[in-house]
Amino acid sequence: MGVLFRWISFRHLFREPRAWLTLIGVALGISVFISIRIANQSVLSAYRHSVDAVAGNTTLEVAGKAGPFDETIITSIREAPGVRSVAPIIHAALPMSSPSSTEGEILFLMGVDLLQEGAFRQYEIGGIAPEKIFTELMEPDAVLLTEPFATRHQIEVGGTISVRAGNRNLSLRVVGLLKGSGLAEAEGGNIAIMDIASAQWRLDKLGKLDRIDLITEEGTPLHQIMKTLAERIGPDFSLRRPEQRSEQVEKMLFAFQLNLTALSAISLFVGIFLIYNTLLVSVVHRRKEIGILRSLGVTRLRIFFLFLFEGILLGTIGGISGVIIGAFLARGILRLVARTVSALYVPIPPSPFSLPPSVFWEGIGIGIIVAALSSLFPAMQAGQLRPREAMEGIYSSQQAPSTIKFLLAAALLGVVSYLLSQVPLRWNLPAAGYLAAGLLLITFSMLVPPALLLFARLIEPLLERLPPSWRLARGHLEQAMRRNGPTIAAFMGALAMMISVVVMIESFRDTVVLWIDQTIKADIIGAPASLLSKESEETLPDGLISEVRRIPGVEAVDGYRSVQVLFREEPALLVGRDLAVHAAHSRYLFRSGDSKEIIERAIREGTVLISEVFANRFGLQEGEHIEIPSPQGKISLEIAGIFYEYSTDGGKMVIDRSLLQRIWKDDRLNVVAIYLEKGSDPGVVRQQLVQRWGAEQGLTFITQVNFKNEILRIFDQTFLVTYALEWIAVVVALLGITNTLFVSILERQREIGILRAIGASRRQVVEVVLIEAFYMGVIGNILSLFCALFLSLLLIFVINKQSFGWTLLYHYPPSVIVHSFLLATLTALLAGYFPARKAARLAVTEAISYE
Amino acid sequence: MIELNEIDKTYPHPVHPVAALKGITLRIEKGSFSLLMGPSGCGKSTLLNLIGGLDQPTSGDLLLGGRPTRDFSDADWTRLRQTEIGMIFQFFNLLPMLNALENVALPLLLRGDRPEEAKARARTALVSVGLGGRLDHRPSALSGGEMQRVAIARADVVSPQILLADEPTGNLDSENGEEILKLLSSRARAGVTLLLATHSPQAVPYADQVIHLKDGRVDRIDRIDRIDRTGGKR
Repeated sequence: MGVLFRWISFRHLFREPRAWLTLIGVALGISVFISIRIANQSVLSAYRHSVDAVAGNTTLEVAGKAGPFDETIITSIREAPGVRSVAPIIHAALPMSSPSSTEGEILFLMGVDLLQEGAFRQYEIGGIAPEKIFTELMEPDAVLLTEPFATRHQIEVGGTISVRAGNRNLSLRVVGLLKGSGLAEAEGGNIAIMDIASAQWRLDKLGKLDRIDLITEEGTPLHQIMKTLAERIGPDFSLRRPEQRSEQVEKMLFAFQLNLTALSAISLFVGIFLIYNTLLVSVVHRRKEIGILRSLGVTRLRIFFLFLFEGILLGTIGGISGVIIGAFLARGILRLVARTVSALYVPIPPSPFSLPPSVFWEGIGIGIIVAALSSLFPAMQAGQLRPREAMEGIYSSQQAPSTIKFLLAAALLGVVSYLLSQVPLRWNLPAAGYLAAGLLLITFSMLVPPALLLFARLIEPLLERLPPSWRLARGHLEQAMRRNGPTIAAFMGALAMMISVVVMIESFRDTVVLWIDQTIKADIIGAPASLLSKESEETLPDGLISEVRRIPGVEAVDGYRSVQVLFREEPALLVGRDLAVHAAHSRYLFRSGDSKEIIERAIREGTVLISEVFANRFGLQEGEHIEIPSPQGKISLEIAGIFYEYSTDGGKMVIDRSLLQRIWKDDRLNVVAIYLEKGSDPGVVRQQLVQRWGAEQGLTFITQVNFKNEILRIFDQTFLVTYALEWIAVVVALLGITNTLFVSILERQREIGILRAIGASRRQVVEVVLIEAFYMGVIGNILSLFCALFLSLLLIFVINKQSFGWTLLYHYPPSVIVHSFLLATLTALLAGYFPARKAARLAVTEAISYE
Repeated sequence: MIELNEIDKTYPHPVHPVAALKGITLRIEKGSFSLLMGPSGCGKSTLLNLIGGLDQPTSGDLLLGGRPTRDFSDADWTRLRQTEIGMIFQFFNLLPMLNALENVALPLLLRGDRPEEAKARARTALVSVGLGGRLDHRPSALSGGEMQRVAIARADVVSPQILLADEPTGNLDSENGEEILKLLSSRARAGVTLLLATHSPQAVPYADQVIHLKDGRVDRIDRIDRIDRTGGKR
């Protein structure tokens, strides 16, 4: 076997350009998959690392379900059995206002009790004498910064840094620098440590705490301690291990990351076709060699393994190269992924690039599995060849299945795919949906051979008047169905996935545009500059609302306050807004019922409105009562309506602001929506607002048009990574076509020679190859448009709905047809260019004597 | 007329270059029927390929109808094959996805003839080789003899002045071979210069001269007078 492999497989594999093309394709496919894995893992590990660094030796954390809580509870916790140490914590995400900071940069401020901290976290402080640490840090506004942060912002000990806290500027004095590992590595270094008393004062949390960290006795089982503690603190508090915070983020990002992984698998899927095609062609091409080997006594099984090993060798080398390329690719993708996650979910600290060794083995493993799967069928074909027939080039044992069989298989798979799409979500994993999508692609791949024959038949009469190259290319296309079929299928698959994702994004975008148009009616939106940073706790200046109302031209102002609560042990957003203003000037798009009526009922009866995503996330319906944690214990509210909303990933609950003020005792505001009188110029009013609050208070006022544009800008940015993945899949498919055409040239050397001998010019030979590529592109494109139609329905109404809970309006833009046709044609012609040149340059005498 | 003066053809190889033709000097008269005979590897096919412009000599001069071909470009040769030179091969070399009519019409279409015209001429050519009833048959549905007749029709359809045939009967039984030879000699009688490479003595009675090649050189030339030829077997 070794000799066969060394003498035959190796020589074949590495002397033929198509093997190299296949390798590049497989390597690219694997690299995309691996790079997404690396990016996903890096983002999570950055978050986990940060959580670990902040947690230190903490074994349990206590937090209020309704936000900051009364600090007196700490005594009761300290005295609980099994609790060894207790550390009170204040935390806040503060937007930086120093000019040196990058736009939207956040500094995480942590207020700690210095006397308790020793047992909890590792402090390595420089720039200050050890004996002075306590006294210096006790001073108001004194903070410790991390060394990397200070270096990046060129701040020295003794210097100051400006941040926005609540609705004012805060100047923090740096008294020392955190070094080394541990706390200094939390939040990617963007962390400042302050004395808890100063933090409470400066953040308007006097007498309040955000969290209490605990270290428990080692002797007592943790679950026992948790049980007693839970009883002691009551239902308004959550008790969890610090790791659970990472787990929660992992859970939150699961659907997003799974989606990315599925997208990255597209290139892998195309890669499978590449190997399959290369080996299948190899079997056809080397049938004589197989016949000779068989006549020399090589068994069927050995022939089978010979080809299987060739495939696996391709997969292994592709895997190794894929990991190397993937590692480079991952750096770029990591930036995009981290940005999207930070914009949509949680702020991810600058994620260090981590390349776990397991990824290397994963890449090779995927390469081998993919290769083994895709070489199985060609290897079986090779094994089944009968020696005499093989030597004489007779195809009897490897005739392509009939068109009817392909159609039947496609129909069967299509039905199974449809049934799978109807399976409801299980274990939070839209597995059936993904499987249905995979089957749909195979269904359409099965339709390639019948479509190819139909196409060849349909265009025949059209070619009468065209130069002979068109007819010749058509003949080649039909004749080489076995070789062209898988290539067209791969190309079709890549295109279909690309089109369907484009359709999904376009539908999503259209839905968002419609939603914006129907629900964002305010003429000007005012908010702190950090409005779009997640977890920013900046609020608007007190009294702003009444002052704005007095500005000439302003008709009404809707104040908007959002607070984070733990709903059913999961973080959730609760919004209090002036529903009366909202009902009068704007609307919610409710799933059913009239917006005005529902909102007025919510004001009158104190009910809650929830977004569709929130309802899907927790399985809620209109009329149900939900319990929301509040500073006054759980409040039970009836769901008055469920509205479509696309601005948050996890959804939100909305109540009237008066209810929030009454129960949360919170008068602050995050955003104001300003409605102008008819005829007022938004530009003029905005100018006044900016003059009054812009520079001094760091507030931003955006007109309606700009606000809508900003939302769409963020939307488009979010899908950058998706488009990048799509393009790579098309490149891999392009390699597939090039590969097939090269093989085609190789197989048809004699034919090309004859053409030249009977008077065809080089140009005409080039034309024949290019037109064949064009036909392949057209068939792939037509099928892909139909496949994408079904695939996008699946993506929008099954996979997306199950993963994220959004209802999207379906929109298959006609421009997609034109664009995909241009893309398919250009790609196919590009892929055919080099093979065509090779064909034209063939030495005629060699070509004619070629067998 | 075809004239070859001191034609050499050497296939390059870093260690062992192969001299396929060495100093070939020949005159082949217009409208004559010449046979190229000799053992395998003596250079018969190479010589035909050079005359058909499929390959270029390493040195020496080739003149076609008095025109030196030394400076012919690839496009010039393509044009010649479209109008003046027809080629026939041992393995017929028909295009499998085209039927008989299309195979024959193809050279005309390649040079830009109108499809109706090309097909009409192809039909006539096929009828003239006795295949009027096989127009829409693909090569796979034809016998060896029929395929070679299609190949002859394809070579002949452009009304060439020169027909080059490389072992056209090599793949046929003697009966079919005889048929093909008769067909080819009829072309020579019509004024076409016919050059046929063969191993088969069956062809000799039809020829005007037999050029014997050996190790890439002209070994001898046997001229056959017309009385012998018309008298049948020698």
